[in-house]
Amino acid sequence: MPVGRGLASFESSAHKKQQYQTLGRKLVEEQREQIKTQLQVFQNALITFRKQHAEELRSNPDLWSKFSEICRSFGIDPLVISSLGIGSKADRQEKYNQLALRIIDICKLTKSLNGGMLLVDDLLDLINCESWFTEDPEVKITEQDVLTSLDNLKALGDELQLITIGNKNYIKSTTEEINADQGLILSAADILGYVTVAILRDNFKWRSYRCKSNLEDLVSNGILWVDDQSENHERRYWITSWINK
Amino acid sequence: MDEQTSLRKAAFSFPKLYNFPPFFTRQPNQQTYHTQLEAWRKIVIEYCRFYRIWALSLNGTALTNVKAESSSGDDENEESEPSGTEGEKASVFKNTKINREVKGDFIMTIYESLIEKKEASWINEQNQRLGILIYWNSLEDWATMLMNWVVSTGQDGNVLTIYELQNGEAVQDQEFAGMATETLTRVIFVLAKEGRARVLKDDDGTIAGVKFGS
Repeated sequence: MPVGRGLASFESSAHKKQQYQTLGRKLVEEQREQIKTQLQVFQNALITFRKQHAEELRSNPDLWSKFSEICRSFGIDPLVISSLGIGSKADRQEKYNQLALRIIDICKLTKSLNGGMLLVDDLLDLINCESWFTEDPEVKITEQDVLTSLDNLKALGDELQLITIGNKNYIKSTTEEINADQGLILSAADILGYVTVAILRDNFKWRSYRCKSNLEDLVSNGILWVDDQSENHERRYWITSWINK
Repeated sequence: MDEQTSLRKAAFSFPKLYNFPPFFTRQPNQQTYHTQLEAWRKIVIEYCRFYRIWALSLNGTALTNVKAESSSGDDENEESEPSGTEGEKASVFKNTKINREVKGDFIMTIYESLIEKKEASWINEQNQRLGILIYWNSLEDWATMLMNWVVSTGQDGNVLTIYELQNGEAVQDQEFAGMATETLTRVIFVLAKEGRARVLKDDDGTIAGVKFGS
């Protein structure tokens, strides 16, 4: 065997090698596409089964738990499964329970971003952005679903509260109370995305300290974010629901 | 290669947070700030991965010619770069659409946080103004990739030059192709430390080549 002298020693085969690699990549890609298609076929079959055999699935808990397990292992969202083929009160209950779990998850996930004040519209966007929900109107989650689900959750405590500010519904998962002034601030911020001390002073006729102390409380709760780069150099206080605008 | 060029033409898609004006001001609330810093770290890494940027300047523009000493030289690797407005070099920290940018001291904090997570290091610790190397793969992962390539192409025991490892025809379809010398040197030192490569130095102390294998 000749002693290696860097790449020059096998440059002649480099071209051929590259062709093999291109071919290899193409094969892997094709295989992946095929598997993806197969998976989709399975998923659709499961969903059809869910719709057609709703009655049986309902009356046989054993079958239901096995079926749910299969669906999960095929990557179907449990919330989708429980939103399909709803016929009875129990079905609806199951759907709202699943939805409640999802709401709790999303509140937790987004808390460090919004301080525990999640706009219901944002929540819906987050849930419905998955293709399952956009493609099938039957499973699409509505504001009413969320409200019902939250209502059911009340039985377990008041960790999540629905509060209305202005004409917007929020889910509040923070233990901090929102006082009347702060409520006014949030509904004002919903117009432009932000408020400033001057805006509050002019519109609500508050004294500066009242504006400031309320704003600072909202910042320290993580509900408002500060922006020091506005054109007129006045500090702006933004609401996080503006992130999705 | 075709695949890569076409990918590079598309622009990096920033998360929605990038269009939220306060994202560019350091947040006074600790928890919010923590979330903000994490988001920035992720953006820097993914941005560099997308445009295959090996190093950033202190204001967040891509460095094409990475040098550990402050000497001038020719641009070696002409990568396509994210373009800003009107000839100005784009910075990952500057959003011209909403007219906001991360200020210098906050950029330093983001860099320090990247370094702490071993996702970056100063090009020259003593002269931080030269910029920062961004590791969108960890040095260990790069080392493994490089070694796997050496073994799978039957070059175990061979001597390869730095140039061949960066720009050789055989590496063009590898993820590490075009790697900045400063980064590559560190990757090789990882291998050397594990006894999987030996560094061959020129008389003037620069790395002439690498002998792979133990």
